[in-house]
Amino acid sequence: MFGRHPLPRSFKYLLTVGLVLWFVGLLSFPLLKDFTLVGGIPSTLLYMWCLQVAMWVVAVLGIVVWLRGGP
Amino acid sequence: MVGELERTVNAAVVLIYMVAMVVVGYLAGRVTRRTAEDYYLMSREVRFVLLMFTYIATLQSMVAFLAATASYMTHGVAYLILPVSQGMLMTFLTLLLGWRYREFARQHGIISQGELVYYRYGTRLGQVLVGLAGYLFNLAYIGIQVVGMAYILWALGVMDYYAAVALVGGITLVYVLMGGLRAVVWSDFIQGILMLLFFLVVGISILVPLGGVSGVLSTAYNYKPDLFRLPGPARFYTDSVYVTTYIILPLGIWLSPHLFVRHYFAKDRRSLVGIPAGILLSQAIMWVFIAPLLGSVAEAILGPVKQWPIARSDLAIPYLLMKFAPWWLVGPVLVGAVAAGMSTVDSQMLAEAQLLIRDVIEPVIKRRLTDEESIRYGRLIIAVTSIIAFVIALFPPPLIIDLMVGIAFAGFAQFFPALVLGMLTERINKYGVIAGLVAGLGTVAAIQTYQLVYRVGPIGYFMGVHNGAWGLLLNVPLTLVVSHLTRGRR
Repeated sequence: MFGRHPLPRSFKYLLTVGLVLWFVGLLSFPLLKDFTLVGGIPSTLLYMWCLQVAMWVVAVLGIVVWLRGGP
Repeated sequence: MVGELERTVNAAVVLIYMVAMVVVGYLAGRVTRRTAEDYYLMSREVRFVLLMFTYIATLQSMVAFLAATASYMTHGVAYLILPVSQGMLMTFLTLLLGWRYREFARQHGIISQGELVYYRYGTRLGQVLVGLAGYLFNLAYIGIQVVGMAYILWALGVMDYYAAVALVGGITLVYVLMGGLRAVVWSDFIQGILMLLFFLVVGISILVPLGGVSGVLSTAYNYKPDLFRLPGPARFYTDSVYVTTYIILPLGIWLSPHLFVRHYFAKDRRSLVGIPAGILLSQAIMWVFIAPLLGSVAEAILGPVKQWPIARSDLAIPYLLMKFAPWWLVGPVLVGAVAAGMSTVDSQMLAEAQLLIRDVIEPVIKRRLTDEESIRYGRLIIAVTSIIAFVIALFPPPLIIDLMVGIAFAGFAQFFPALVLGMLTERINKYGVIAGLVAGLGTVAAIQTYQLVYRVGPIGYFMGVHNGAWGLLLNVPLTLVVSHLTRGRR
């Protein structure tokens, strides 16, 4: 169970970035209390969409790196 | 509202789909070998594409297909914390731990969630706790899904409510009994594709006539600007609700028994990636863009919910479809919604048998059942569990259902120290895990009982904090402290 499962360094970086993004989402509630319009889109919605897309990018890169060099 | 021709065509489409599911179950049953590992885990040989679609179909239930839009209608942008908190975190959890679960399960012949606790910590009590808690929380969900599917078929005039409960529940039961996991996986493959495809069709056929993204948003924020700021139109998402829901939901969902066991049957490491791929793909299609847009505009187009023919917010998609799409599209969309429900229920039924057989019955009688006994008793458990769930669906007691749904993810999240932390470090031992599980599950149950007895709402939250967070607040420190104090003891 606890045998060594070496993870590529790049995966660890992505994991760290992912965790930071996750905590950004967790602590984002003050930014969502009011909105302005940005190109016709409410800023709160746009912010959550951007955060979600950033998380997807990190997650997909994580999958690719894990497949190429993971356990 | 619905003409005779439309009703007949919609019913025919749904019935054809049901027959197709039975055929899948029959064909799967013909090739299923008579071993427990094959019946419950398809001999651990599920490849990438099948694993991806079975995970999608199981993860995205009736809630995703219909109620997500309703929830965005009620809570607005706040509800985006569901996908934002889950997708990436669940992906990394699977990449970090899913592989270990898979290896460990193969090494020890593990089939159920609780067995992992036994083989990791050597505690039968911990195994039984996980098995029983998983079984009870899952049971309510099966009932909820059947209620949802029957309700939608009845509300749109396809068939009588009781006939719908019998049909939907009965068909699912039949193909699970016949083919075990092989039937579940192959039907999930079909149901997952139907669900995603029809959800896209729904989105496009409603959003395009409304002027696309910009048209929908300008209508929505002129109608109800609270949709785009916290705490949302229902004033529910306070700071503490936001933070604790964000933490509990991804853990509770990822640790649900019927999803968790999917790590066990990936054929190899490449196949395992089907799980995160399924999470991300289904989120992108169902949760992040289409559902929030439909939810934000539904009341602006259809008027307040209480003025709808049937005043239920989860009927927003069918009513929007009737307004903007051709009538013949309603039947296929119904199939998509029913597919979403059935594909979750089938996996839950199978998981219930796994939990009771391996985590409760075998530890109690102190012997391993033979393959034949395991399949026979498993089928019996599936049938009995289904009957209980169908009775819940026939006479839905709203308070109890709300109660169970409210605590389900709160309960599953209590497995976090045992099944996540304990898999990352050897410092956690069985004493810590048992103490944590008892404290966490006990706290959730106690708060929920208090809320039920004294009618203190909302269900699932106490003093503005998710009940699962109250449980983890005791569970995690207790697991760590007791493990530290009892280190070195066997």
